[in-house]
Amino acid sequence: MRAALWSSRLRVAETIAADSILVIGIGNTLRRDDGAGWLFAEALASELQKAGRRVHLVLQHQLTLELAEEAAELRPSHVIFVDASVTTHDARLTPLPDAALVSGASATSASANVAGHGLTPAALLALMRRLYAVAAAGWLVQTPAEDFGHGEGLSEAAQHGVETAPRIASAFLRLNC
Amino acid sequence: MTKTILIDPVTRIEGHAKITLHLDDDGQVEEARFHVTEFRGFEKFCEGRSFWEMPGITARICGICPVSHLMASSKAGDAILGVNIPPTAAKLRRLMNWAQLVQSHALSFFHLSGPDLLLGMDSDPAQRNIMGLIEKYPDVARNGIRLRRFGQKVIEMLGGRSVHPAWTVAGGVRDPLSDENRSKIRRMLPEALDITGLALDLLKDAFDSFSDEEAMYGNFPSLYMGLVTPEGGLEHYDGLLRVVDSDGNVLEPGLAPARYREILGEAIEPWSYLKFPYYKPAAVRDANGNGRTLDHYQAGMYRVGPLARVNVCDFAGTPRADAELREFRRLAPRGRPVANSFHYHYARLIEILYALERIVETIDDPAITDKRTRAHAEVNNMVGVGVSEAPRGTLFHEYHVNGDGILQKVNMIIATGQNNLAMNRTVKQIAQYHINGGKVTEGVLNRIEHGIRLYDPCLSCSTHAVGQMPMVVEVYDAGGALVEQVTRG
Repeated sequence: MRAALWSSRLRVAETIAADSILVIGIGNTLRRDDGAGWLFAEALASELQKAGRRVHLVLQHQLTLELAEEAAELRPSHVIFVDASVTTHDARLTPLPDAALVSGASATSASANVAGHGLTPAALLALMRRLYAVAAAGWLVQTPAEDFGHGEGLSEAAQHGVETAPRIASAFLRLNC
Repeated sequence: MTKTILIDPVTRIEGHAKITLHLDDDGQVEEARFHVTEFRGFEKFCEGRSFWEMPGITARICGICPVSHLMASSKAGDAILGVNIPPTAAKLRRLMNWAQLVQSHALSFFHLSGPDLLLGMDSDPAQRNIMGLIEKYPDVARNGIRLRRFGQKVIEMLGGRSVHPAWTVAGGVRDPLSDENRSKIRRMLPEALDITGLALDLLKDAFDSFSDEEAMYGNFPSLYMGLVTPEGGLEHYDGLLRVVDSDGNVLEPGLAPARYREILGEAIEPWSYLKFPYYKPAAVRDANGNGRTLDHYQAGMYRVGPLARVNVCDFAGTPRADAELREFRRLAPRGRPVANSFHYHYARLIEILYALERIVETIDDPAITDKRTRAHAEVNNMVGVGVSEAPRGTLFHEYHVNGDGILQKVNMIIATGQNNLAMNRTVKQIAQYHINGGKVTEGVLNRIEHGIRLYDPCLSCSTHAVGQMPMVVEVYDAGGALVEQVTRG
């Protein structure tokens, strides 16, 4: 599945998919639970694909400037960012603000990190909209994490979170059917 | 009354750096210090690992220029093996190194310094950022992304991914270049060259607006160091070390990089984790040959990176880059290096042009898709030194191993460290010009930050954050009491 999804991503320049869902997993699989973003994203993409949706999966350490262009080329109707978080005990799906409204302080905050280790999801959506006229609805999945130490493998809490990907997929489909 | 102005943090993410400005009784800047407060300890914790692992480990030093560490580390590994890697492997490594130069310099110019250059140093801080740039100059922002993406794509095609690719290894590279990827790179090149031409026009148009900055942003005599080809051309992967002084005299015409210790010393100051490399022959000595004062090494200050590289070479070696280099050299009196660090921007664009022209040549080389890309050997030397040019300057990796290839000692001299003395001098120069009576405005803070950004330091990626670094400037009196605080962000 992972290889197939990756290859679908690599064909984006040639095939512009309409009404597709772009799932972006953010994290580092060598920092324990930080890798939950990738694993959850893979599981979520798989569930959405099983439900008949056209899905693209991108796994990133960070959201970079050039990803805005790559993502815009896909012309997704929805972008779901998946990231590990210590602030939640259960995976949760929340809508991101309309990219058209991202300006002022939030844009400032987003851009401050541009050369560091990544953009924020809101900034990426704003770049897609402002530079490439692609207005995708943004969603953020935060999946639980507690251990960001060196090494592979997930803590029990993070593993439990990843296993709830089908529930999040169902929730997303209910809200966007 | 003596005062100290503290700018902390310069960085956004992890508080890796801060600046203190020390004022005299008249409120004039007496001293400036750029403190790096981050300690990572790679040299120490690599001991006990196999040298085979080092490219992968040291690439993790940086998410922006991992390729530089891959290059230097792999070359140190080549030296331990005692092999000449296959010619195609060397060409492929060069290709990746040039691609990295393009992406890193594009990020620095378009998105990190672009807001200052195009929107103005004193423009509204809420707009002086990438979003503000997008609002006002969307084409510029798009072009910057395209150019950076070109570099990242080439790295990804060669190494499998754009960040931390585990592709170069001791003895060569893991995989050859496919015909398909070669064609893709070839197709992307014309646009990348066009964008670079536009960027050069953009920068030259901006010169008129930055006469102050041209005059006093790191405008001081120093030495310059970089790699050159045996013929004296611009070089980023191999070659010989050259050192030139501020009058254009060649102090080291072509030292074998493995002998770097003969000319480079590393000083330490208690107020920064970043060492202070210096050119040893120029450091002040007493009659016994020892350093005379705490700052005896200051006389050995040298600059590395794009400005230094285009200053030390005799020529670039590609047509368009050579034409730009001739124009660049008109900025200084004939025969002398361009001393102003503001022109790191210009030098960066010349290097992008050069790298793209070299990529064109290399992609057209029939041997570039040859499948023989790795030499195999065991440990044949107990010491290996690998040197290459990172976007920010010359990078040294030196490994000492036992017979099993286990590291006994590691020394790395990172490009940013070599600009440490010059960055401190630049901060001081800008602060002295702009701060009178201890009054610090947001525009002054931004100029100081821009002075650091000229060197594109890699001690923390967030040092690059344009105009939006949360800052606290605190003014203390001689007794240590806080008398003024200015915050931003």
